[in-house]
Amino acid sequence: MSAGGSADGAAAGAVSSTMLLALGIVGGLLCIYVSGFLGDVVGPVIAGIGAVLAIIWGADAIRRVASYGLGTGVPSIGYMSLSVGVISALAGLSLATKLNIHMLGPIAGFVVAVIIGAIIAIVATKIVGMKIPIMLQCTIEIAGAATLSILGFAVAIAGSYDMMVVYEHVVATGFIAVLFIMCTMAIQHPFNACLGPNEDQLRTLKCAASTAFLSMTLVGLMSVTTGGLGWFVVFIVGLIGWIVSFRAFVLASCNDAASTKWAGLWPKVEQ
Amino acid sequence: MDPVTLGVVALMGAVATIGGAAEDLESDIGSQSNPNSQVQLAPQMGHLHRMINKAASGEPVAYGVWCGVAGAIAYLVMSLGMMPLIAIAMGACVAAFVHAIYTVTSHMGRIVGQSQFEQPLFMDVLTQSLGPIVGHGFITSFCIVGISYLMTIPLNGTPLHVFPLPLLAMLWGIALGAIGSSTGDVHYGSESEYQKFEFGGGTPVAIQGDIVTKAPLGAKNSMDVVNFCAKFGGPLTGFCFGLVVFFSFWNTVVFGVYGGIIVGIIIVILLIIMDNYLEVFARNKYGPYEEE
Repeated sequence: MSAGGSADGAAAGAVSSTMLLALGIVGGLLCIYVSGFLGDVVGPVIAGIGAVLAIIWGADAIRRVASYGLGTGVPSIGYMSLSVGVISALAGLSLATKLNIHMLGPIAGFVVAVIIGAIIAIVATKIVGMKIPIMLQCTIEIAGAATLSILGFAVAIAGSYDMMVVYEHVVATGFIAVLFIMCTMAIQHPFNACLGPNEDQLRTLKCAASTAFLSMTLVGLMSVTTGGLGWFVVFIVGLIGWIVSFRAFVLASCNDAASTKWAGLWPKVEQ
Repeated sequence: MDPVTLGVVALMGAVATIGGAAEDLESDIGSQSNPNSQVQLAPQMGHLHRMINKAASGEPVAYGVWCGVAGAIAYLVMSLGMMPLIAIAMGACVAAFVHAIYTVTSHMGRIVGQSQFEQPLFMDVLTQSLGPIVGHGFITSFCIVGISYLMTIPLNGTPLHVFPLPLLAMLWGIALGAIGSSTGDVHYGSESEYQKFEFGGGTPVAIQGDIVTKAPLGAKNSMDVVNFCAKFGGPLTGFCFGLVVFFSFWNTVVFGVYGGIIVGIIIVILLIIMDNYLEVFARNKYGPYEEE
């Protein structure tokens, strides 16, 4: 077993993983597409919320695959999947530009992520020999979530999923690298932070919502120079979402702890 | 050789040394990286404790985030016309805020994940350690974004690097995290946390989590660990990172592109010889670890 891993086996949870998957894919893609029709102020917020949904889905997928005892591999699979996410997102948008069908961009990026994720999972299971039954499904899911989170935040900064606009405001400025590492952290951190025998899915998801909204708040700041008031709305919505989810996580942690103390020593327990 | 560029490279090396030292000490307070999982296992091994368990991923990802965010905010503030020094400080402030939030979630999450072993969630441990963690994190982000900025300003017409500031800051953050994790770990909290075991034995899996939880007076805490590491571990990590930054640019500035590559290869060969000599010397002097 990994250091501090919760259990060697499939992780159960109060919230259905299928529901989170549907929320991530449908919600994420829908928000990214709808944002294009909502103007400069509301559009970026909706795109940001799409990215938040994708991050929560990705965090749940990490939780499921990592509960097989990945341990210190939790950040690694996050890192790897987000690199797939960046490549897929840019490949999808470029493909759409090449074909001159801009609407194709986000969905093409998602499909590319699924393909690359599947290839990586097959290499990991068949060649490297990792014995995780849900490796294929979860790697595809995390890569898909990574792509949608990158796309959602990129659209929130640029205000459009047109490749040239994304290139100018997200790639050329170097923000793409920050999105990559920030989304890596947001997706892998919740399970990595909460792991242990008493890890609980709801608490982990509350942590995921808090990391996702924190990223959205930062994305709001990053879109300051893009123009319009959109950045401020993204920032405020992200901040409110973060306060609510962070508070929920802290309260859940205090309730679930063996005891919460502000001073003193630990209790004496039978060895 | 351009003396101004060489001076800037020397300055970058000095700043990187300070940043590297602060990074290692920050991770020592937070029991991050290598010993982190071992602190995590302590309650299972019957050792309830008052240590911080800051599992915000490994150091490379974590410092990629803090420095990337600091670089992005600094880049934005500079593009709005603010003075670079103030802009970098503002970026490091935002990064420190993010750092604090991730510290709180990871500590609370991991402690609560061990609740069946009766490990209490000590809030005073968190509040007391948060300041030093975030403070060291601020210094590190400031230094990394600072050296990244120095790389982007055109000296005599050409900058040392063509990448935009946020990208450079993230890359150097990852590099620093990796160096802090590999260099700092050796002189790390693990020596303090596992001080009851004979020196030189490393921390094999069998003893992971079997940490010392009491100090000469009262409970051992994360501040004791950082005090222990501040003498050698932190400065050594800083020195290592400073040398990495300095030698990344010094050779090409002094000897040109092709001469710089040859000098770089010579430096690597010299380092291999020196490292080998040091290891052989240490093993001969202190002897190999022997199973009893």
